[in-house]
Amino acid sequence: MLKRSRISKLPSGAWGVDLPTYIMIAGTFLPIVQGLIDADGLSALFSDEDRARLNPTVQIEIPDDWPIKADGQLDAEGLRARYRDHPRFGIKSYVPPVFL
Amino acid sequence: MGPGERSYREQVDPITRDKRADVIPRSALRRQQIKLDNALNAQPFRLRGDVIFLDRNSTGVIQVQLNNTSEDLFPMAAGDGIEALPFEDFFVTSAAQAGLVVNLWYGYSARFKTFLSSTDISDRPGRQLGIVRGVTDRNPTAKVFNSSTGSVAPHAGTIRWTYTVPASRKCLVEFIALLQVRITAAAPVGLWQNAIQYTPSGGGATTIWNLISIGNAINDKDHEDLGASMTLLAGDTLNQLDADASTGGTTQQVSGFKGTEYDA
Repeated sequence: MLKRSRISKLPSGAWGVDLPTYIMIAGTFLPIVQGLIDADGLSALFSDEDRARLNPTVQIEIPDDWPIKADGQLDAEGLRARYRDHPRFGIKSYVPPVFL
Repeated sequence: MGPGERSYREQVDPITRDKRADVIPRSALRRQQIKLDNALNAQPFRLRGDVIFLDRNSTGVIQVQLNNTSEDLFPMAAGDGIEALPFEDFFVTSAAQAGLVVNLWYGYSARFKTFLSSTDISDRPGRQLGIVRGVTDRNPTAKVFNSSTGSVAPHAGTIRWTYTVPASRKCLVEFIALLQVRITAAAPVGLWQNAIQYTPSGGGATTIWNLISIGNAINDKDHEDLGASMTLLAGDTLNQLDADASTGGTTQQVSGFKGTEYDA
């Protein structure tokens, strides 16, 4: 299913979405900011401060069988249970991003 | 044995008495399905008989005690059975096994035969016997991921898809493709790359396939296809990553992945 989510700096240092599984939809980065964000990605100059200020988002596809609540958001507990073996996505402190 | 004489079995088989002297028709062969979604701790089942057998539709593993919980736990899975041991209480102990069941047959004077093959037994007894079911017999689901940047300007490292294997599953990686091509020249060119990273559960991200270029001519390209190459375990992550550190110019970076996820 398609959702829109905020971009995060992931533990590896790359930009992405803080979910265990997703596919970004090409050309859907928002907002477009000259020199910092275009439809296909973030500039090499893009910083953590830019992220805090601009809150870029991207459309993603997530697995259809993930637990979704009535409000359209992920059921965090259900998602953690699904990845219970994972040292980050399976523990209480992991909170999946809010869909927009 | 002379003509007209009946064997002991022929005399007693029409009826069989259990130890409480209840008469049970010898044809009584009953089935009980036990769901294993929740953990069981010496869960009692009132099942009378002297034969018990777990058929090939059993997908879980249990430990049993007959008649008394002071007995030692006996492990059972598909194809296992007990014969010639009268019981009327059957205690089951099991870890939670979501979606799995045991299909249990019980009665008197029956004898079951099973032919274990590589495709009709559950995984655990299979491992015990050195036989493991094929991927296609373990609730397989196709996993497909791809990305294509279009004609993209220089950009920071971006993970366009990521896949983490859920708990109790594995994934056979069957195909990975990476392509990158320069669309317009940069000034100056920087390193541009398209990569696959592997993060074992609990480990750090490791780049295991990488196309790296500093080519600055239009249509400079790298392309790599990989066939069946690795198995991902529960909690392992595979992701794509592309970046272009040039100034100006555009590139296109494409990736694809196909795998089959199945029960661990």
